[in-house]
Amino acid sequence: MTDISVLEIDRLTVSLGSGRAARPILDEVTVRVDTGEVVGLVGESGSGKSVTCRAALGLLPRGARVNGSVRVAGTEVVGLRGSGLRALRSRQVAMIYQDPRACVNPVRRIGDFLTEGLRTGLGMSAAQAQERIIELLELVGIRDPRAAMRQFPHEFSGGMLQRMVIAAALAPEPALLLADEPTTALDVTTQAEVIAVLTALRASRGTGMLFVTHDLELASAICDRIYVMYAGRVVEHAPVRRLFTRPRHPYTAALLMSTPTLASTNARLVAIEGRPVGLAEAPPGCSFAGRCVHVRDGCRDTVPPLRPVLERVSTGDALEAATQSAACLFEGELGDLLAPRSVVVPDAVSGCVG
Amino acid sequence: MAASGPALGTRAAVLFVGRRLASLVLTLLATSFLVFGAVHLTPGDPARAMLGPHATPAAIAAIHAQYHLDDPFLVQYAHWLGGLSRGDFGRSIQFRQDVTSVLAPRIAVTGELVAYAAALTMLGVLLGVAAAVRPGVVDTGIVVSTTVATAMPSFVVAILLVAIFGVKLGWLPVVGVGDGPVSRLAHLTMPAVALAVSLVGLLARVTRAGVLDQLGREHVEVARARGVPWLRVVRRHALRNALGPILTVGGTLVAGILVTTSIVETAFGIHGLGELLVKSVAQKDLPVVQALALLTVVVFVVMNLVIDVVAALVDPRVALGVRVA
Amino acid sequence: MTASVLHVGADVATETGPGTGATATTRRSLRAVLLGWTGSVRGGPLFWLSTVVLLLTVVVAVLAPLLAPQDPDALDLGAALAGPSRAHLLGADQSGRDLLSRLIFGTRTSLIGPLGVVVLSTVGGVVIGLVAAWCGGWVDACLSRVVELIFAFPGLLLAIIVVAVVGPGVWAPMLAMAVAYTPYVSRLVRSVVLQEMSRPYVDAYRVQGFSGVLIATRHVLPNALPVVLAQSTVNFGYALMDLAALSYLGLGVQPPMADWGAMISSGQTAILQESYLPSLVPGVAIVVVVVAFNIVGEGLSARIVRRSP
Repeated sequence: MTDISVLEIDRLTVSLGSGRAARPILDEVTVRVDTGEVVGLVGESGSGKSVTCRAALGLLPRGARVNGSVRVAGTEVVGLRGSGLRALRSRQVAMIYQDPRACVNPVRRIGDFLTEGLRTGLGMSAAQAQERIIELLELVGIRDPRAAMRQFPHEFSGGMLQRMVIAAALAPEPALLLADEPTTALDVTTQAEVIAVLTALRASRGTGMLFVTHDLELASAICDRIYVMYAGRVVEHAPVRRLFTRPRHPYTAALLMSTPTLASTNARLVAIEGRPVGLAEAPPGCSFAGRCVHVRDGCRDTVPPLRPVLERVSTGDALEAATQSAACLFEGELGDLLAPRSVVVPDAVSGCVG
Repeated sequence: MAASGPALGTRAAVLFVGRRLASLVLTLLATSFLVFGAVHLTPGDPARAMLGPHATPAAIAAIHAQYHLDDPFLVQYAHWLGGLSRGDFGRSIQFRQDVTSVLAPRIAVTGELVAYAAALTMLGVLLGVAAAVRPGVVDTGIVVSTTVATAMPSFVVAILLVAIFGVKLGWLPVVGVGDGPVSRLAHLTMPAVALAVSLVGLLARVTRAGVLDQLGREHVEVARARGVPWLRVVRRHALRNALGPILTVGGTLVAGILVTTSIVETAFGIHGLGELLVKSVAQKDLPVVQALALLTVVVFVVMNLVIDVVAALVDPRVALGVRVA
Repeated sequence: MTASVLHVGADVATETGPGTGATATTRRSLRAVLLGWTGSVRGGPLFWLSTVVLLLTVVVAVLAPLLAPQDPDALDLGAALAGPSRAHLLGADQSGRDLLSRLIFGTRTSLIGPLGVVVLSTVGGVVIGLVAAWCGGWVDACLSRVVELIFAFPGLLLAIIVVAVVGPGVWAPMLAMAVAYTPYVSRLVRSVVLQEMSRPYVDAYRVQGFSGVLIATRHVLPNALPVVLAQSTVNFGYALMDLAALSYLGLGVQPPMADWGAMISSGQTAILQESYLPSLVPGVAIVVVVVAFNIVGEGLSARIVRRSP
């Protein structure tokens, strides 16, 4: 799409603690987001998607041991500290959080929250910052932004607050926007509104966005490409349409089968056996082996590498095939076994949300 | 969207303060009744106490008539209350003058001492913040020292200070209040420190806990993730949000200083209200004890009211008297 | 130190009663906050060390006549303010009495007073809190009023007034302090019992026809007791400080009886003669014991909090 990556996470490995007590969290995670692109990071809780996302902000847990590289708009984030880190956070990357109520200081006026980044990070005057914020508030659909800025967070609904958090995130015109489950804590109707706001912004601005969610459907509604994570590893990566029509990792396939969609009324939902695990509890070999219905000999021996999917049958979209990769030893053999019984076209879904 | 307009907020505030003031008056009435009743039950004839062992029956009868000592209990109480409302606390037995004129010259020095100690107590906030933001040696050091400080009664601190700074080093005067502002400050330093040590410890603990609690919250992480400088995060987010409990505890501690002055003023020979209270108890000068007890309770209750109002002011989520989810 | 001042921790740790106003939220959240402080000490070596210190103190108090090298009241003016020596391990006070022996005997008076305060206030507080919570309605309202009234009196002030009326001694301050400490316990009990009563097992017993009194005393109370015990342990330390303060002021235990507070008071003049031990030794004793009580009490409540669901 474009030639500049706003986020390049390259073989990022993170563990907590050291020596025998070390708890691995991420294993060789590679993620790329280009300018103007929306990339999904999908996985169950414990898959490491939030840690990956926070790594782009240099926000890793205290005492984390990090290997690999995280570059935001060309700047290496791993090992960045002090004013360099502050500059990165205040100008280059902004984040939208799951629970807007928890992420806004409850005892300060909302205007203080909105302008704080501009005042402390970009050195704007209070008046300048206010001007910029009022524009953005109108953009995200807040009526009477001037009055709103004088109110306290508890006086707003969750959806309103989330719009303001989005406005605050956009204020410094960051190169990269991180959205960590931005709709999970909201009710369904508000979710749709927030997604609509994000989609609209995506169209109007060149900001790259990493959209973290556990909800594959939701990701399909807004993303261009999706990384699927399981137990601290990326297990599949593909453009959205490709992922939905031809998943090449049993986990992705299982996720698709377990997700209810509006379009697929006749397909049976199949829950994934067992519970999601983190990297620390994962078995040796493929960490999904314990829950995989296609598990075979050899799955538990080596960790399958993330490999480009080789397309044997030419289906016409060879370009997309080249951009799909999966971490399954038997991806080639399984092939169409993994295809969902009812094909869900993401456009249908995005239509209902947008 | 807005939970309450400003008009409603103001009315709620007025109602709240009004209700609290009414309850304050009731508390004072009950207190005065208890204090008066307790003193009334005291064995011995106050007239004899006033006049000494060699008083003539006629003189005693005169005192009885003058102070309505033969009236029924409730009538005497009503008389006493009437006097209180005119600022008349009765007559001191030991000083043979009006209680009001006994108290008046001592109020200033006790006030200065309390203010000095209260100012020192605020040091606890600094220590608490330092402990919260510097885990490791600094934190452990502050935790240990404040745990000990909390358990140090003012009179133990007083003798330590006197031994070290008064006698061994000879830096600070040990007795009295001195003349002139500089000398007064020097004289009041050790007493104020003696009053403040355990309070600094308590306030530091509350502050540390509150700030740590806030530092672990998402809004603080968010502020950091937005590149807000660390000091500003601590000051404007963590400390600011922990201010409610800090003020509540700090206010209660400061209100309590007034009572503790009786110990410290006695230890350092300062002629203030606290020392007067101890002396009056020893001399059975009950009118003075009554007056000081009432005065202390007034300060205590008013202070609690102020704390509640301030606590509501620092947290917009707390409406006065009502809790907004 | 006044009870109310030192009880801030306990005060904020308890559920606030009705009509306590705007600080209710902050006060409640403080419970968790204050208990978090002890995270570093609970169950750790400090907790056990403090427990040992307290046990030793009790042993010393009980065995005082056996342990004390000399008669604590034996005057030896020749040895007045003598420094540490083989005859007087910690030296002698201004009347030549053996300091170590007085310290050992002082353990008795210094512990018995607070013990009385804690026992009386715990029993009184449990009864009042239980009755208030169980009966509810106007009984609860009346008791809450009374409790609030007592809260308006700093404990030390209450004790001073009582001493003014009935004269100094062991009993008057102890009773006054017990009254002043009762509200802290009763408030705690009331809130814990209210909490317990909302649990299904109480209804289950009721349905089975058990009488209210039986359920309250046999089932609800035992569940509330650990919390009360932790609170009372902390109260013990504070009561010790308060009663020592009264003795120091000459309003509590009267000389020549050995008592830590009174010893500090009488040793004070010796400080000016650069003889520090007579007041320093009992001072250190007070601080050590109170620290131990605080650590043990807070450690206990941290354990309870951790155990409860």
